[in-house]
Amino acid sequence: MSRVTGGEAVQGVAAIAIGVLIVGSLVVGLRLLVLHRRTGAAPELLLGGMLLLAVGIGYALMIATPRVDPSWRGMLQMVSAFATCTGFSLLFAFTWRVFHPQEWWARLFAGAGMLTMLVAIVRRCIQVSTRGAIDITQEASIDLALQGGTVVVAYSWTAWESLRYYGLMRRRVALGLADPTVCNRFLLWGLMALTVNAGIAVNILAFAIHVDSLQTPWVLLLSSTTGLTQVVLLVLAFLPPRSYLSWVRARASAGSA
Amino acid sequence: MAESAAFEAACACLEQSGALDRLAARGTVRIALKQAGLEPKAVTPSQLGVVLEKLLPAELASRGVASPEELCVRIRKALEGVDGGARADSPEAIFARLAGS
Repeated sequence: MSRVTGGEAVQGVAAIAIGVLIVGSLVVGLRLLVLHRRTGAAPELLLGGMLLLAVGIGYALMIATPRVDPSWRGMLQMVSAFATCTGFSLLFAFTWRVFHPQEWWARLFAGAGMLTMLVAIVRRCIQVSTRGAIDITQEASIDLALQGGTVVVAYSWTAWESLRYYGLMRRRVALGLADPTVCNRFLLWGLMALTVNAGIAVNILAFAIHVDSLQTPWVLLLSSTTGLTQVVLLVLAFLPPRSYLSWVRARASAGSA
Repeated sequence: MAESAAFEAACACLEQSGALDRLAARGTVRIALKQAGLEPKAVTPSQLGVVLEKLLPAELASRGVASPEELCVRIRKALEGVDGGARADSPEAIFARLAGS
C-alpha cells in the first residue's frame, strides 16, 4: 500500500476546503436568489448572483480547467473568466446599492470597477482565442492587477462599508434601537471580505516569488484556512443556525445587563 | 442628500424654542444622533424619540439650556405628526432581510 506524503495530504485538505467553499457559496447564493424571487429587491439578486457566478461557477471552472482535455481548456477559461468577472462586478453593484444608493461617487466607483472587470473579460477572451489556453502561473502582471487587484478593491470597499456600519449598529443595539443579530451580520460580512483579501494576498505573494500555488504546501495551507474561514463566516451571516442567533442575542443581553 | 423629515422637525422645534440658534440646534441634534449610531438623512421619528429620551437632554444641559427634559418632551410631541417609518432599503433593513430575519 502506498503512503500518503505530506504534500499530498495538504493538497487533499486544500481540495476539501475549496470544495466546501464552492458548495457553501452555491447554497447561500441560491437561497438569496430564491429570496429575490419573493421580494423582488436588487440586493439579494446582486449578492446571490455574485456568489453563484464568481465562486460557484467561476472558481469551479478555474479548478477544473487543467484537468480536462486540452482542446476544452481555452473555452473553459473564457467561461470561467466571464463568470468570475461578472460575479465580482455584481459585488461592486451590491456595495453601491446597499450602502450608498443615492451617492454619485459610489455609482461612479462601482461603474469603474465593473468596467475594469469587463476589460478583464475581453482581454482574457482575446488572449485565449489568439494564443490558446493560458498557463495561469505564468500570467502577466497586468492581468493579475486587472483581475486580482480589482477583486481586492471590491472586497476592501464592501469590508470598509460593512465594518463602518457595524460601528453604527453597535451603538443602536446599546440603546435598544437595533437587533443584535443584524448588527452581528455586518461584522461577519466585513470579516468575510477581509478573509477573501487575505486569501488573494497569499496567492499574489506566491505568484510574486514564482511559487506554484497549487503545489506548495504553505500556500495551500494558508489558502485552505482562508477558504474555510470564508465559508463559515458566509454561512453564519446569511444562513445562520438558530443556535448561533440565540447565542448572539444572549451575548447582547448579557452585555447590556 | 437631504436630511430626514424627523431630523428637520426636531431641529426646527429646538430652534423655535429659542434655546439655541439654527446652527447650534442642528449641530447638537447631529451629535446626539452620532452617539446613537444614527444618520440625519435616515433617522425615523421613533428612533429620534429614543435619542430625545436618552441622549439629547444631557447634550442640551451641557450647552446651558434650561429644563432640557421639558424641551425634549415638546420636541417629541412635534414629531408625532411627522411621517417616516424605517426605510425598506436602508442597510439595516437589507441585512435583516438577507438572512430571513
